[in-house]
Amino acid sequence: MKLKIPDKYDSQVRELRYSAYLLKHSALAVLGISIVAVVIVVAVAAPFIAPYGPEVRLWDQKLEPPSFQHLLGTDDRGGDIFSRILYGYRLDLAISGSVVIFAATMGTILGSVSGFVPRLDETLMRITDVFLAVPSLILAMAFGAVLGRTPTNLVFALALTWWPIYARLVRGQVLVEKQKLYVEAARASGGGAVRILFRHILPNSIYPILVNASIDLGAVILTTASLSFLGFGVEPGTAELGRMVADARSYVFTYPWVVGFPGLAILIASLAFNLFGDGIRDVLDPRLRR
Amino acid sequence: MELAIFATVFQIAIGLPLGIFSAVKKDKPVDHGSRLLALTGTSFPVFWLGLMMQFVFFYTLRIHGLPSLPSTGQVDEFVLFEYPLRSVTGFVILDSLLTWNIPIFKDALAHIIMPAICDGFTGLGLITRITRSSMLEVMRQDYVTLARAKGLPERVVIYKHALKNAINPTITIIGTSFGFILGGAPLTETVFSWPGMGKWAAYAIVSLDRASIMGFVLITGVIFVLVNLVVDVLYSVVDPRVRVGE
Repeated sequence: MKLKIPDKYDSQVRELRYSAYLLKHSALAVLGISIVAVVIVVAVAAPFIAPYGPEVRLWDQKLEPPSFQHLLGTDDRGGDIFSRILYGYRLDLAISGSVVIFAATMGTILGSVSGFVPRLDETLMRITDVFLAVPSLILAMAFGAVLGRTPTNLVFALALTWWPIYARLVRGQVLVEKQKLYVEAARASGGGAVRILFRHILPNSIYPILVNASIDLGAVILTTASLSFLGFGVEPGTAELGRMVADARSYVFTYPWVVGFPGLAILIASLAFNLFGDGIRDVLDPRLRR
Repeated sequence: MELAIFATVFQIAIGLPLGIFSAVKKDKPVDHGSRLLALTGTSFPVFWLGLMMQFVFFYTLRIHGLPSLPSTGQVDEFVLFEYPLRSVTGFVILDSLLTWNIPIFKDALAHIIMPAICDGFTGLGLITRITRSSMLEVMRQDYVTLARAKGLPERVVIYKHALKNAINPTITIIGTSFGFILGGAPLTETVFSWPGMGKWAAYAIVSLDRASIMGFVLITGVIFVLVNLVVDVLYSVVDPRVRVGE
């Protein structure tokens, strides 16, 4: 009889299959994933789907109610709301995607250094505490005000506010993993500190980072919209969801759809990412499995 | 301050029972409902919620001639003109009660409902979830089984035995969210033209008014330290295990 040599990835594949099985059986997670997929596709394909451009102004068709010609009506400058929402998704997803990538990278590097090098731990964590103590919205507003009103600066402002959460998370993970036997084995076989950290410890603590990132996407979309509602980030008139709500604020009683639909779009996107992240967390965290 | 208190009261009034309920009826429709509510709460754009509430509870009710809630501000100028308010503590609602100024009291109460719900809605889900998970943890333990085995009614088991031991994490969350609202919720305050610290800070940042920004940050820091202190003290009140010096 021939014995099957266990493949290196066998257990991981089984784990992944089990996760996918669990994920499929959670109705809310499936719903979240579907909406996330639709939002991403719509955002990427906005130029092909949207009937009008984001900056098209039909001055003779201002503030029209929803109709077949303008699916969700038009705003006070004759912009087609449906098209602008599609382009708004495009901008907001791009912003929140870059923010999460920036913040996660920065937080991972600082957090792992802090967890791995005891000498720097105290200093780095106190800096993190300072960032965490100030309400994130206010901090992002301050950064945004100093840097100026462009989407790129908004990304920097939000990334600068968001990294401490990742730094904390990664530090905790690294502290736990550091104690484990495989790290000792790696050290015993002569692995350098950098190699141990990046080849051994980090790959083993990547799951919580990913889960947190997927939940954060929704939160960042929300914060982006809030900031531009308050007048930070993008210029008035830009096809950005929060900005659209802010620009149309004075019409809330007379032309509710101008305010209603962009806000609804924000809600749908951030709810979908939250459902998605919640589902992922349930599946990947063995302690929460039912 | 008043806004923060009202928002927190709203959060506790809805969040705590909902959390307990969904822990007791785990995996039943109530549980899924509260889970969805919690997620909706964290993903709702606060400013949009405020605007939509204004649209429904102020505008729609008013054009149909129904009693409606005022949309902006802390107290109505006309009411304030007719019944001048003597300032005692600076809190409108408290002052109006102290000086027995009922019209102002009613008006201020009507003004605070919408912003308070708006502010409280975000943290509501968090409180529900935390209460649920810590209740579930506690209800698995032996003494709850014992209490049931003794034949105590389910109500007593849940509220007397389980809840007392599960309340600590909820207190932490309530404290943090109270600090956040107290430190100013710029979005709600902007939408409802509420003369609060968040709105002030937002304007200060826009106009790069350094002294105001520094003052705001300092106050926020002090508030957080104080809130954490109060939370720690509350721990020892609720849970004899963490009492100091015993």
